[in-house]
Amino acid sequence: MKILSGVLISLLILMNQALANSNLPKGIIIQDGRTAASFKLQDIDGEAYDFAESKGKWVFVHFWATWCGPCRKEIPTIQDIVKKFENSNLEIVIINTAESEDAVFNFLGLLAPDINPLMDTDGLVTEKWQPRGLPATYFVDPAGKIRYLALGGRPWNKDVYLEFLNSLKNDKSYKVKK
Amino acid sequence: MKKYLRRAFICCLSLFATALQADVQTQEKMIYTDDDVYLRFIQLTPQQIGSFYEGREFTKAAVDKLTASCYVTVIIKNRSNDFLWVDIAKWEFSQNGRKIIQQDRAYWNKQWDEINLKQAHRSTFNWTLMPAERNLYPQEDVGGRIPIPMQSKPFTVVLNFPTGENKQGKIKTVKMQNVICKLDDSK
Repeated sequence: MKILSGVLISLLILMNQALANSNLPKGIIIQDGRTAASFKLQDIDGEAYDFAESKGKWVFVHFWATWCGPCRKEIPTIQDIVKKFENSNLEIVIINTAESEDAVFNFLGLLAPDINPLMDTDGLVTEKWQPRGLPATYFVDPAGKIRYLALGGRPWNKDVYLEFLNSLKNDKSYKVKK
Repeated sequence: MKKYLRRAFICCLSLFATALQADVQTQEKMIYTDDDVYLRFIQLTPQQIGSFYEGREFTKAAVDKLTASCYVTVIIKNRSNDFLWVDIAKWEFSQNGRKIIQQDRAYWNKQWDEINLKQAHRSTFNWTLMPAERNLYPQEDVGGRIPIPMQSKPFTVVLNFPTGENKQGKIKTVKMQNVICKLDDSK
């Protein structure tokens, strides 16, 4: 009897997860809720940023590089959402992996001039996060746990993704002490 | 002013490099596709590889080491409804029955230690390599380079892909023949 109920519970969990996944936009997958690695970086203007200070908000953490083909296609769509979610409960954090200021400046100047990325100058923050490849986007909940991962580049300015981002922005289910 | 001129120059260079890369991608590719997987092989010449890393400010010593090797750039898309595993230790490179040994991350770390390559460049280089082992979700794709010693003759690559969430499924095998290390003077 115990075995049967165990199997049923497992099945329910799996079905629940499948249902949750099917409601997500294409390429967004649920993660196990591991704690996101903390970091401190400077943006391209030299302003300091501490990831710990984002606790209490959902955070879109995006890793990219200028040499990565899909990044070229994706970055203008990220520029669109940067403006949309400015000063909201969804923080957009964009991290360049191991490139020089000149390379980043030129790339963004052409494709997304309003983006002010954080500079992971030696690439060690990216390695700590161990993305599956570049580009990579994680969604960290207000408690600092990784809840979703986007596979490859996504058209973030499309309605289906905006709806998903808005649902995070409007999420009131977390009460976290900063 | 000097800084802006430098930036404008780098900008033109990177545009040229992108155009060059796009041109290469349309001219030099081998494609395999079926219901489970899409595969594309791209061969770049040493000069093209050198330009890529030089454009990322790699030192001459690093570029010299890089251009001495051959790179098989592979793009893979999982077209199946199951997990497909990239596990490059299971990919066999050979030429007339002679095994060609891949130059893995340990090999390159040793090379970089010899010339004290800075961490940022090690990181960039690693990100341009094919992941050593990774699952691919249905419809997910991945791309990256596999370095091998320079070859003067065509060779064969047998790509074995475990399948299933825990690699419990059948092995999917694709054989790519007549792969070459493209040289600059063969253009």
